Amino acid sequence: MSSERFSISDERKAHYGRFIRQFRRNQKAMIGLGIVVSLFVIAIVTSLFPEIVPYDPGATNVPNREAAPSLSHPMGTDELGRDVFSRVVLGTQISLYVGFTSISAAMVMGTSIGIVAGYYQGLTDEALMRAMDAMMSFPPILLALTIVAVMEPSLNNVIIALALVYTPFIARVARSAALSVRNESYIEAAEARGESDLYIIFREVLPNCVGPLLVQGSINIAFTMLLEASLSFLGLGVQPPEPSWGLMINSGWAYMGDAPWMVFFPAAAIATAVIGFNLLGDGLRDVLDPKGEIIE
Amino acid sequence: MNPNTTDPLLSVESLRTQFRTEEGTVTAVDDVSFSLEKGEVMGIVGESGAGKSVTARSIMQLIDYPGEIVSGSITFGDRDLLSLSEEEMQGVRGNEITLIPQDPMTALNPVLTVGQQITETIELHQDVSSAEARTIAIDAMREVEIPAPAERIDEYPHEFSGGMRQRILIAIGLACEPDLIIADEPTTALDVTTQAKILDLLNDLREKHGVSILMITHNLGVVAQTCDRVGVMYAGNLVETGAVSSIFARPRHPYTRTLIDAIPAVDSDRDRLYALPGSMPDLKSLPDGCNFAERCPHAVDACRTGDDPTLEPASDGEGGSHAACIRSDELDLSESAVEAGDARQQKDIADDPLLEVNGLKKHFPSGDGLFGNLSLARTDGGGLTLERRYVKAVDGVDFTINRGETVGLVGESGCGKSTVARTVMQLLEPTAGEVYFDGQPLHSLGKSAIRSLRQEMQIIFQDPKSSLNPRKTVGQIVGRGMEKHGIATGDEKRERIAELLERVGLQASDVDKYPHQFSGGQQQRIAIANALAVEPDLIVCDEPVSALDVSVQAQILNLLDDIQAEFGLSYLFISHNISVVQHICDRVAVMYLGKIAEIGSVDQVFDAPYHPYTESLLSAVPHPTPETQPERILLDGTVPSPLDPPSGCPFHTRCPKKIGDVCETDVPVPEPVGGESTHQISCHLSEADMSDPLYETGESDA
Amino acid sequence: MAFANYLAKRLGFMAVTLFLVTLITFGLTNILPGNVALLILGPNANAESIAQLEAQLGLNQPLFVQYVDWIVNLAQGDMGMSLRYNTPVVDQIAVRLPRSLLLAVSATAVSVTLSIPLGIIAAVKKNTPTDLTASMLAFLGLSLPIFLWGLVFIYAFALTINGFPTRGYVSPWVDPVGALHHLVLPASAMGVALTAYIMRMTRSSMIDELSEDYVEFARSKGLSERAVVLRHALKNAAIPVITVIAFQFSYAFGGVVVLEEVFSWPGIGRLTLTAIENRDIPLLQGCIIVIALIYMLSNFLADAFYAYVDPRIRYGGSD
Repeated sequence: MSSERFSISDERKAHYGRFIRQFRRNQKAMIGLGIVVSLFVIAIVTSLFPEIVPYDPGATNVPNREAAPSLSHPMGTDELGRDVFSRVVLGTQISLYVGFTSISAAMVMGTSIGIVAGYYQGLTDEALMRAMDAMMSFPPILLALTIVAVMEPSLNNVIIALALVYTPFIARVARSAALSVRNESYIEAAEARGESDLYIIFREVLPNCVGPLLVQGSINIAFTMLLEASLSFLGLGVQPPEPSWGLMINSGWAYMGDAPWMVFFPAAAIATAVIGFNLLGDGLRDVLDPKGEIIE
Repeated sequence: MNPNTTDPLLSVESLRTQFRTEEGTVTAVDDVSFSLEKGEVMGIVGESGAGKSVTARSIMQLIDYPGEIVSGSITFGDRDLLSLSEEEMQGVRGNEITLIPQDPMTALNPVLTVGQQITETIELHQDVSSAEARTIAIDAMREVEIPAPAERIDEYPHEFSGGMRQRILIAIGLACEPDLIIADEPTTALDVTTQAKILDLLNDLREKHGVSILMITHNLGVVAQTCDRVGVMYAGNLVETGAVSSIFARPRHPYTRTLIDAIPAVDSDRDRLYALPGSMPDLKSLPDGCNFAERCPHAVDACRTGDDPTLEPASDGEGGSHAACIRSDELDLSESAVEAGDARQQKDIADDPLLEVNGLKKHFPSGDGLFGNLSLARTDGGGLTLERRYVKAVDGVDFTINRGETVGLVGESGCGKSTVARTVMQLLEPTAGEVYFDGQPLHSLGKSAIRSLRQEMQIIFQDPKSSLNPRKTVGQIVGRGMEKHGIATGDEKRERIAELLERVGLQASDVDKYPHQFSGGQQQRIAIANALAVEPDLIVCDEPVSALDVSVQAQILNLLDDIQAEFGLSYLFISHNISVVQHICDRVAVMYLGKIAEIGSVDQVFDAPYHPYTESLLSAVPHPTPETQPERILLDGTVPSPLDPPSGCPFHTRCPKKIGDVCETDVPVPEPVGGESTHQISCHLSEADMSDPLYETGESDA
Repeated sequence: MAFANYLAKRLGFMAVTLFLVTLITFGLTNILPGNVALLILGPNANAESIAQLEAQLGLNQPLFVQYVDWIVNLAQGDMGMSLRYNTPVVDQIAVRLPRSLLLAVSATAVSVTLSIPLGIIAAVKKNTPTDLTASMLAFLGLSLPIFLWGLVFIYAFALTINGFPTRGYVSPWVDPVGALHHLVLPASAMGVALTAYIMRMTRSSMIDELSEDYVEFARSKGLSERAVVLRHALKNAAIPVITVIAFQFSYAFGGVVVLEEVFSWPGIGRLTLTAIENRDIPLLQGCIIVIALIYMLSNFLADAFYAYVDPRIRYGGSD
């Protein structure tokens, strides 16, 4: 509103500098960040320049099916002669798209629910958290499976299902973060200043819950990737001929004895992505959790 | 164990302990040397970060990674402890040297019975059967005066009160009849009446067993009441050692002098406090020369060069004093640095009340959650029933605050004083009662009306770190209130923020810093600036100096004093610290279990006639003067639960002057005493009985 | 009394959650596309007989009435008839559930034996190469979806080493040795996949406890590091770990849905998939409710155990 200066002063640089320095020193976080950034680069580059991959992911070449990895097909070909390398590379887009959109939606819903519950406490808290408990009573895959089955399997429905499944997980973290922030005196000071609830929630509580939410979000993206793969494996996720890693494993499994590369490479891709997001989340936790600071 | 009594029991030579942190190496203990005779009680006193706890842990070799004892030697009896293997050291710990830790609430393992925790030490170090160990444990519990030890030995820690848990820690420390006990702030976490009992117990045990004690504390009062000798630490250095009496009478190091002067004494003339400027230097980058030079009123150029000064004996040798100060022989520090004429600000107290509180009550549902306060209980007939239970935190409180006046609420933890503050400010909704602010009935105003009144009432909290949003800059924090209440915006706002920051002793250039870049005392200054920003009439100070070191506490008390006259403020001052309350307040209310026991001007309340609770509270304060050792009134038992407060007078279960059934049945009402309507006491005793001291002065301990 | 109070409250919470769970289950399964009557009667049925059957099944009633009917029957243990098998849903579940329980319990046992020692070692050796190795091992389990672990185990142990059967189930009452033989691969696959969570929880809660004052005090008594860790810290650290184990156990029930498909294990997981494939609504509702109930029960048992281990809850207190 007023002429607040938004130039980044040296003081602020020092403030964020400490975070960046600690993050850089954390091996887990840096490896995780490296993997995640590489995945994003692959996804963005291949969506901007789809012709960059050596083969059309849908182009079949039956005579050359189940070909072992070679120079022309570094990860071999599948049962229809499609290039596994091209499909694995393009699968990155789907995996990231599913993970990111579903967790973003879950973050918005879960954070709202959790912070409202944690800030207001009492009846609001009980009602919201009992509903979250009820949703968490279903194992994630079962809930996702049922939701997708109800709505017809498709990429977007998978995203909706995953967003719903992970909302309560985010809500729990947001609530406990909000509860601990709620006990800080600066919240009471804001009340004593006559601030509205909305101001307190958005300007005082939310910024102080960002750390744990980032950690949870990052780890949950890894979970959605696992779940998306499982759904695809069961035929209730992304539908063919999209090059989803889970689908590729599903179709490749029948040829495991003769063409293990059909399963191996997409599986390795899943593992890399999952480990990347987990490392990033774990590293963030180490850096953001102020515990372990030693003074007398 | 050592026949040659001239050899010290413990001798620490040039001890240096460092911690490697992300930001650099912290030298927590820097070249510390001292020795302790057999049977002697030595205090190590200092503010937080001085290195006293690390010294204690270094002796026991309980320094964890990333800490490390870099150099020095620790001789205990005839052994060099630093050359012992970890296994040999385990035989020393808990057996020959024991630790009494600070916080009785966290030092006991919650899932083991106290019996298990006492006997494990005994079985480890003594060749006894478990049945014998149990007998020894019960004896140890009896020795520290835990009632019914044989029955209570199988209970879990949470079933004991804080004071009782501290006794259990002492019992564990004594169980193997050690030669040396290291007591690390053994009473800091306790209320003052409980502290008095624990200090008495330690004094008794020491006389009986002749054990040596190394007493780590920040409280000079505790030192004066328990120690023979004392060492003063500052920024990792031991700056002065000597006999307690000579240290208090004639300190040799300027820091010791300022430490003594910074304490508001219970019976002082309420002069301005001597406040040391600044704060302890960063242990990662200590200055050249004396670490204290920067803050020292006597520093000369020579103090700021070369190495740390070494601990040298005083030239007159009096009291065995040693000081690490190059000027110690030329300075005479026996007089207080506060000039007698350095009086406090003159106050202008109006007659009309700014705040009026009548019959205020606040009851909390006990337990958590929606149905949390419902709980299963047995009826008299033995059947099951559901009960709704309430904690009566504040149970009928009346007082007023006039414009320009400071009213103190004093009492021990759980007496409801902080709840009064929050209920008065309508941060909590009162269960019953009326609160008038400037004539307006807060208790019946709507939310938005209260919101606009908030500008007139501000609050300062105990923990300055928690009262500032870590994600906002100082400018954003202080400026927000101005913006919110339309006091100033834009350039005008920035100017006023700068003025305010300078007024509270910070710099205008601090606006863009974040709270974590300041020390605790500076953070409290920001909190004060934040409260002043909206130009309030009333500031509620909720234990504003309790989390601060004594030298910083004096700075903040002086600042509060200065701005009161300047800004025309009234204060509601909440504190458990009687000397602080006496120093800063005009009138005082003493609270016990949600009710006001006594209210009046400071002189009236701190002089006879007393409410018996006020009397015992005053007697329990450890005076920082070795020559005054008043008889302490030791209260029986602990404060009853506010879930189920006693009938009649809430204090009757512990009152040393209880007269009979009337105390148990009739609730005493506040009645004027001494013919003055301003001094009111809620007690059934006659005025003469309330004036009669419980112990004659000079009577010796039975 | 405090313990009874605690359990009573937990049961109350569970009742509320259970109510919400039935709402979600009913709501979800009733949006499932497909006309039930049409499914039962086959594609050649005429409109009249469809309407008749709908009336008979109560499908023409408002949803609210259907829900009340359903829940009243459910309370009496009647989950309706399976459309696919034409037998009571309860009978189907009664046969399948114990097989899945066996699998989930074994998997949880495998993961607990692997993860708790790993977690303790990692916590005690915090920030050393040992810690990193232990954490990485656990991460590995986390990095692949459960079904893929199934495939890995099948490939590694069955196809190459040719040791264990990769398909089917043998009742332990009929052939204990054969049952164990069939159990090894699926239980280990799921156990490995679950290890990471419990290990990480054990590690972090051990690290928290090891920084508590009572641990330092225990060291100051002269106890050896082993005694400090095992006698003092572990019992406290176990409390949050128990909750995670309970959660993992029910999570394993999510795992069985996929893993049973991989190993052709005829449990409740495959039953659920069959129900989805065939749009068998009563069967699906039954499966979902039973699996959610197992989650709630295991959580309740964890809470009860937790309360029993923690004397602050068991005896209440002056706090």
